[in-house]
Amino acid sequence: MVNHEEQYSVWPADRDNPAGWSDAGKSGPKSDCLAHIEDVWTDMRPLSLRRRLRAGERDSQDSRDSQDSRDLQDGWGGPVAESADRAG
Amino acid sequence: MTAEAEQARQVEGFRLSFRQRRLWELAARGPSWAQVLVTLDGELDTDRLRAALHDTVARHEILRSAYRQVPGARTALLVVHDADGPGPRWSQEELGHLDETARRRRIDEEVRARRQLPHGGPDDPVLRAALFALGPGRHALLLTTTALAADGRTLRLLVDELAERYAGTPPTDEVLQYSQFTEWQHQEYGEEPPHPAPGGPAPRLSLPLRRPAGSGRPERRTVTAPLPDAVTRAVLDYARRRRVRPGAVLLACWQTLLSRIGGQRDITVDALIGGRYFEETATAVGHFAQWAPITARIDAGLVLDALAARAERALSDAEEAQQDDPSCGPPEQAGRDIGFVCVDAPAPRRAGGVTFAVAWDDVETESHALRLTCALGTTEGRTTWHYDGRQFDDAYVRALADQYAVLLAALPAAPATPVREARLPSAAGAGQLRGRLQEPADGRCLHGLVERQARRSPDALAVVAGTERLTFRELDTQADRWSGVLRARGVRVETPVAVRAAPSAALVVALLAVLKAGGTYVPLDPLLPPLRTRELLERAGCRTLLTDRPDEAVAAEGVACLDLREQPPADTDPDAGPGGPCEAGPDHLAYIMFTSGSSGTPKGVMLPHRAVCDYLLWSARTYVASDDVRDGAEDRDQGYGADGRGRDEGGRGGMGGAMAHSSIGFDLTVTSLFLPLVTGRPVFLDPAWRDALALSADLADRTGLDLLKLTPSHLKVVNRCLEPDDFTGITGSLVLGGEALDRSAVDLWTAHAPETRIFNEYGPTETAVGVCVHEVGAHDGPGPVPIGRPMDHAEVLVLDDDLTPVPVGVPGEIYIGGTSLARGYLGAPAATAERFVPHPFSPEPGRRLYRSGDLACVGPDGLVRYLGRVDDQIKVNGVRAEPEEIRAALLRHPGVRDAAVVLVADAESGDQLAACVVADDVRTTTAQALRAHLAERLPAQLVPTTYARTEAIPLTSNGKVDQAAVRSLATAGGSGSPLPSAGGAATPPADLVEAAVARVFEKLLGVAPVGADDDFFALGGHSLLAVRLIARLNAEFHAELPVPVLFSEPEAGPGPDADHEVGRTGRAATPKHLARLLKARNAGPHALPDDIVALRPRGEGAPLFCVHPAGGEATGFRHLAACPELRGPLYALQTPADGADHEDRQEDLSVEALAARYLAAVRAVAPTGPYLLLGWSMGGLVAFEMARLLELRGERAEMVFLVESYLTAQHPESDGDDDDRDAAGTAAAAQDLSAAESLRLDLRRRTNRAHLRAARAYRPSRYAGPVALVQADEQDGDLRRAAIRRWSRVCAPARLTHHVLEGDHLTLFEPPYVSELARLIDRTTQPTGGGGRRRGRGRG
Repeated sequence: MVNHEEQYSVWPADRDNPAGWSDAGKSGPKSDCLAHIEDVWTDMRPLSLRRRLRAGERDSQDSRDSQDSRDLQDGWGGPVAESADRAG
Repeated sequence: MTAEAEQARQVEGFRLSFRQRRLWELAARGPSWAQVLVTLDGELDTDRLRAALHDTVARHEILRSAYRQVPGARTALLVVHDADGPGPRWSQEELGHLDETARRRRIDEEVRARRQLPHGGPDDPVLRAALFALGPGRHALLLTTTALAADGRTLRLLVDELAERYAGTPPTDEVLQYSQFTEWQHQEYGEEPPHPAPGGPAPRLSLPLRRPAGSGRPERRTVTAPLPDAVTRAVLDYARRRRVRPGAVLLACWQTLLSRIGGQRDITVDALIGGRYFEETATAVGHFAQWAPITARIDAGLVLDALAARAERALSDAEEAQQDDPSCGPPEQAGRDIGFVCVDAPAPRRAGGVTFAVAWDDVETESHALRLTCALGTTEGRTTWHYDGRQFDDAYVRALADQYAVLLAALPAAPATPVREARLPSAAGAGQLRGRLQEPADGRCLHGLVERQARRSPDALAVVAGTERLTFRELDTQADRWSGVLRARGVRVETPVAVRAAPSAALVVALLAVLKAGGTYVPLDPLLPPLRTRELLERAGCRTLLTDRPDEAVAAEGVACLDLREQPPADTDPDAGPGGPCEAGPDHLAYIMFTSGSSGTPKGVMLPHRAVCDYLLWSARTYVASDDVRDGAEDRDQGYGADGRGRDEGGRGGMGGAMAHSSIGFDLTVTSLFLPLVTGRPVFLDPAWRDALALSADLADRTGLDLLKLTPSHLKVVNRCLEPDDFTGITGSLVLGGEALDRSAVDLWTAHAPETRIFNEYGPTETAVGVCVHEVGAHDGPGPVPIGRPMDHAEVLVLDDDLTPVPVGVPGEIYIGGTSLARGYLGAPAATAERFVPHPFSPEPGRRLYRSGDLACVGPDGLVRYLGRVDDQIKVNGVRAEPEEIRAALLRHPGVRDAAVVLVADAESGDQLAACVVADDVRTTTAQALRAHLAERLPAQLVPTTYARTEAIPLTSNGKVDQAAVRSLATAGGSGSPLPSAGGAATPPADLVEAAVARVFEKLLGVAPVGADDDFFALGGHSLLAVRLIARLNAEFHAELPVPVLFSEPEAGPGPDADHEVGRTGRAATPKHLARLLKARNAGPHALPDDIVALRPRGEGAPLFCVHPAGGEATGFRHLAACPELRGPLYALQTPADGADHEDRQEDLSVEALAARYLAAVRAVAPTGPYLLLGWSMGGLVAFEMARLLELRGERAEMVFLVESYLTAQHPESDGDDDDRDAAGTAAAAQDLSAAESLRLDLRRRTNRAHLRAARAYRPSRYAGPVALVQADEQDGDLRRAAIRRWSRVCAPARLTHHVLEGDHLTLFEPPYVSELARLIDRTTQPTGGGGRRRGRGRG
């Protein structure tokens, strides 16, 4: 089952759903349900947080640099030590 | 009374009934009584009542009988006094002027006082009456007699008769006298029915809220609760319908309740059987009732109909069995467990204008730990609860009474419902959120709290690490710079950044910097092995690692290592990087912390800021002096340290703050690390403190902390290392968490640091540090400390399998709600869904609860008590360890085919992990190899200490690992073969002491062989084990080495090789060094010149050294020395008679100390063996200990004779007074002394007392050498048998012989009996006839 934050959990099928939880479209043995959850619950952040983040992203879209952050590492020559360099 | 008359009376004595005989034996163990309290309402004619009582007693012989011990027998005779004698003792007391409470108290006092009565003597009538005048027309009559004379029914018959007589209608029919019954019983069943065999200790029903009984006598207490009339009627109706006696229904409900609260299927209850099987006995006065143990199995589907029918059958079977054989019954046990009695409550009776009503009756025979008595009338009923106050709280028993009443109402009303499912009321106060769910409107971030503090007290000291100091301003600035660096590298909200640094200022800066950048820190303990570190980095998905050791290649390709030792440029703009500031919110993650996972891999727990902040703000309010908290009170802000206080004190004294001593990968550390920072106090760091001993050493000098947070395991080490003076002033709050806490662990603190507040905190990593807390107070009794009540931000529920809150005292699982919940497990949605479950009854929809797997119950006080785990998870010194994860790591070793890991509990100094492996090749899979293998993959705490090999891992019938079996395999002395250590290059121990120390190493560490230069810590020892090592060595060698000797630099001894002795820099934990210290110490006990006297200096064969009885005198051996049968020399040890000179020494005299001293004296006479030792009475303990000492030193005694030597713990009467057998022996021996000697008797008595004290405190350890136990045939048989049992527990069975000689405790050493003893000694020690003496080496 799933709640308003899109957090998933398991619940005995023969019991009424607790307030705020609805069926997530899977019933059966607990292991099957957990396997289903493993598949569908891809973002574990609460939905409200994801929404806020998306809103924030839209707001700051203009100033946002979409470049891969790793490209920026060279911009500062401080105490950086790439382990990759050392590990070869 | 003349002697003839007395004799005549004795002839008139009757034998006791079988039941009385048992009661007589029980009476020797503790008081037993029969009491009834009758209320008398109406105008009472006292004289008439007194006369009625007199006549009642005259009618029943048993009420005027005394009991006389039969010389030479275990039992007594019943002696009947004349009916025209003085009658029952009568007292009257006016209580009308007192208020109700005072009256009750006064009556209660009298009730208790009268229980201590003897069983009646010639001038001491067995029945005593006390009449209390309560007010106009109100009286209470208390009748007390011995249980030998009355059972419960007898008491009620008496009240009836009393009323009849008072009414003027005395009973006229012939009544059966008890003596007639006993005579009949003896004729019918024979003279001496077989006595029930003594049983072991009574089985003890384990209940969550039951305390261990401890020592001393039971404190009998009573609670009475009326039953609602409707319930009584329902029970009676149900019983009638089902054709069972009401008692069967009441018993069934009692069994149900016990099964529910004890969580056990099989329940045994002692039920009282009336024992009146014949018409004549129905109205007879005397004790007929007997106990019968009744066992019931309460299965899941069992309904009341079936259970009540079974109870009915069990009761009638028990009645039949007792009718067939009245001597049958439960075996003799010292104190029985759970009892049940059902009686008819007689209706009040109106007689002569007065209403006679039985308020209660109470017959105490076997002292049940908990006994329920139900009294049912036709409409009304009550339950009375008799219990041992040491084991049960009054409040808990009252809760039980309520629960029982609920079951009585529920079960008969729904007889088709399985009894296990009957609803009991949920415990009140169990962690229900009482409108607390509202969250702080301004959700906060962890770094935000620190920044706020930096603004308030910028110049206060924030970090003290060695010589490093940072003020809040400096901390904030540095963290900002690093945060800029991180942001420049692309760290954004929830970007995981690993921090791996030793405790230092840089560590604190790094953690804050990650948070300030919006990221999530992943703390990695620098002590983790590289493989493990790499695994965690990968799991967390960290692409950046902040470290103070970038040279250690722990990170995989693609992970950037930033060197914390470098200073980032000051001009780094904290807001640098594209996108500008990207503040993390309260629902973003603050940290990801890894814990041991049951799936075999570590689990990353994702904690949002809100959870951590709510905990920290709560702990700031609670743990830190409230007037100092600077939380949301800007106007009060005094900025700690802003006035310059404390900056120059070198981090000690008066600065407040806390020491972050534990691993950063352990969520317990969050408190010590961040609580100071959010309250304007310094956090102290030092890598050395990871070692509990180093931490303790520092604490010894430290004062003025606000908070000290430890695991109970650490606390044990600290307690042992601190002197009493050290405790005072260390800290304002002592917080214990991570493990179950026992009250005794904080005794030193409450005694020596009464101003320190002590908290027991509970909280899994999944719910941000702590959710439940209990402040230890004076009201906390001994035993486990509750985890208390939920903190403000948390909801702590104890739920059953059905997710229903449990009743008081019933175990359930802890579920946690509120704002402290983690988001879940990193990258493991299924595992998260399994543990974070829908809140079944949250006022706010859609909430989750964390299912902890911890078992707990709620007390009648509403406090939650931790009970254990529902699964295999264990905690090793506070750190979570999933055996499955360790097993998985073991299986990765190529030589291991199968493995199991268990926790071996050790009360002495903490628990340790033990592994059991199935290995093909013993040479490659050594303990060291496995330890090294695991040490590369697991945190040090998860690496087992001991390793054993077995053919197959033992499993239980349902295929799970049999924990108990593995435990016994894995522990030293178990049947599993310890794995050999790789060893080989080690120097073998050079002498016996070194070898003995090495053996202790081997036992503790599970490796063998250990060489003289092997370092304890290098072999896997840690500080908790070190404490145990020292304890063992001290016990074995009677030394007093302090724990820090393991760390002190060994002094350079004389000789050229002195500097080779240090095994490891700064440490000295090698057998060689420890042996040297022990040898130096052992030279300690010096013989006193008067310690030994040669009673027979010459002779053939090994000398016999005799140790005196408690009186300390050697003279008692003079007859033995004179025996021609004895051929060897004889020396006697003695305590010099001038006892006064040694008064102070005697105060702390121990058997061990005495043995060490005497051995030195023996050595002065005979530097080498063979030795023969003999001890008489208390001296036997000393001789035994001397033999053990010899064995420890690699020598042995040829034989130890323990003559009439009893381990005093088996004397039930021996606590407190000196009047036991040893003393009696000495006193009698003293009669042999000359007149001059007797002047010193007083001094002797002191010696005597000191010796007996020492004997009582002595707990013998195992001894492998030959021992001869010599006993006097006139000694009490039980005592003798008990002594054999006790000694055979510590002696090697094959080498223990037992001899019974003619005589008694004293005369064994006197002519003529002493020759037998001499012959025995000679025979045992010089076994060869014909002169070829095996031990013919006499002393030169």
